[in-house]
Amino acid sequence: MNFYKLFFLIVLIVSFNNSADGHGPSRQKVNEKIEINTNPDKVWEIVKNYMKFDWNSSVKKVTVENNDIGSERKLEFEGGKFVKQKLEKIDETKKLISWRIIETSNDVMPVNSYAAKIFVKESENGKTIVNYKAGFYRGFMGNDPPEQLNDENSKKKVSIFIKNSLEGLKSIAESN
Amino acid sequence: MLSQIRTFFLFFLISFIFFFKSILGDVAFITNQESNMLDIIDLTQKKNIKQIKVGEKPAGIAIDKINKIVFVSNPESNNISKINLEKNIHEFFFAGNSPMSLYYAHQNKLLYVTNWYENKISVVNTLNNKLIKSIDVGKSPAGIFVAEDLKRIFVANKDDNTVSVVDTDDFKMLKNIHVGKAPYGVFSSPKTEYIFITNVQSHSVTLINKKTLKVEKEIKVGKWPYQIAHNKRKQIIYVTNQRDNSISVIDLKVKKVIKTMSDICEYPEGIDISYNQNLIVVACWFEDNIILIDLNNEKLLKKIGVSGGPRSFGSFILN
Repeated sequence: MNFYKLFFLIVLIVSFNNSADGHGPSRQKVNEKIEINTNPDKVWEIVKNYMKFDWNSSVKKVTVENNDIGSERKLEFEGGKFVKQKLEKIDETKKLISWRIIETSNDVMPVNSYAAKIFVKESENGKTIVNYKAGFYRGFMGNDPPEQLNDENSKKKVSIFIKNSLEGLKSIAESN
Repeated sequence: MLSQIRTFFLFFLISFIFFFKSILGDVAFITNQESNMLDIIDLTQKKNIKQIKVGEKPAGIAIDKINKIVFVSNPESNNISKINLEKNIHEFFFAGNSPMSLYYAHQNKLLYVTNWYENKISVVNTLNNKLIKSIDVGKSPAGIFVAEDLKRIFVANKDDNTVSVVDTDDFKMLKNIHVGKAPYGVFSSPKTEYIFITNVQSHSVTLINKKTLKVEKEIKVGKWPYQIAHNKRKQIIYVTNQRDNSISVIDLKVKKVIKTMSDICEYPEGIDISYNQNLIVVACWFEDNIILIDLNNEKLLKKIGVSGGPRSFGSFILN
């Protein structure tokens, strides 16, 4: 009897989840900005250096091929988790760098088709505004994603990563 | 009890009534996937004049231009919004789960819908909003176009790298055409002999001959092409490239990219033409705005803010 109760409970939960989440993935965006109290050229020197990514404290190790377009970079996190990126663009006049993610551990960045852009601009008071933007799909592309890989949690993970990176960048740029 | 439900239902319907009389000029309808709104842009005044709440994560759009009815797909609430602009009524109907792209056929008043997760297309009689047919196609069907004169439905199967061609009379599969990688958008117009396919992952556009169903050419464009608008006056097409912030201009006579309009906006997606207003209208997903481009000199005229995450996948201008 208890077995049947459990069975029906499971059926009920599964079907309930289906009806709550039965939809196609829509693209997510994260758009974060930070003001840095130094001049834009100095910040851009740090941002455009694809060889180095020491802005984010959760990144334990960086392995990178070179500073050319198409170069692959691996960011390693605790517990062997990683994100593999590919350099897409460096625009000196616009002070813009962009990369995309080609492979990822879902625990760190639950994303698909992720592309990020970072702009460095002069603010009105001669300081710097850094704008970090990313467009992506959630970690699970099929119907009914597990909670950790749904739209909300994927976006949350990306937001946290980007915010931490910007804060790290600010402290590096302001301390030099 | 039953009468109470009926009263409630009527009240529910009436509550969707809104007043449109003044805005039936040249307008663009923008589906916003983040705000769940349909924004209405008056192209004469160049202003965002109204937002209507639709279903969840609205994406696709089609317009019955004669009866002034706008259809919007709501993939996450598994329904279609039907907004009758003249009668001021907003209804919802079912057209299969996870509806994506829409095509409205004027001849028989049918709405054709792709169902992303079901690997099907659905056909709805828009006179009574009844689902009349479900047809199996390939994996993850995205864009759809119906060549009404040829009685053919064209569907891009994103995860099969094919385009399915289905007969509109007997709903039988006529052909599966191999195209580029991750085909997404399917566009055409009565003024061209081609069906245009955007292949997101091979960064190309495939031209299929409508009659022979042969692939005529695959043309490289920018990164992640999404939607296409056909300029019937010049026999050129405009392709939005989401990840390049650009529009590729292809001349159909030479079947080549003749120009790239770069730095248009971030993640340009839906694109359509208003001949009355001489405008190209582009939805810029990342920027939460739409841009108006002069159709003659292809210069940027204006940016207009929208409610959030504009996509407008389909033909979205009513003249």
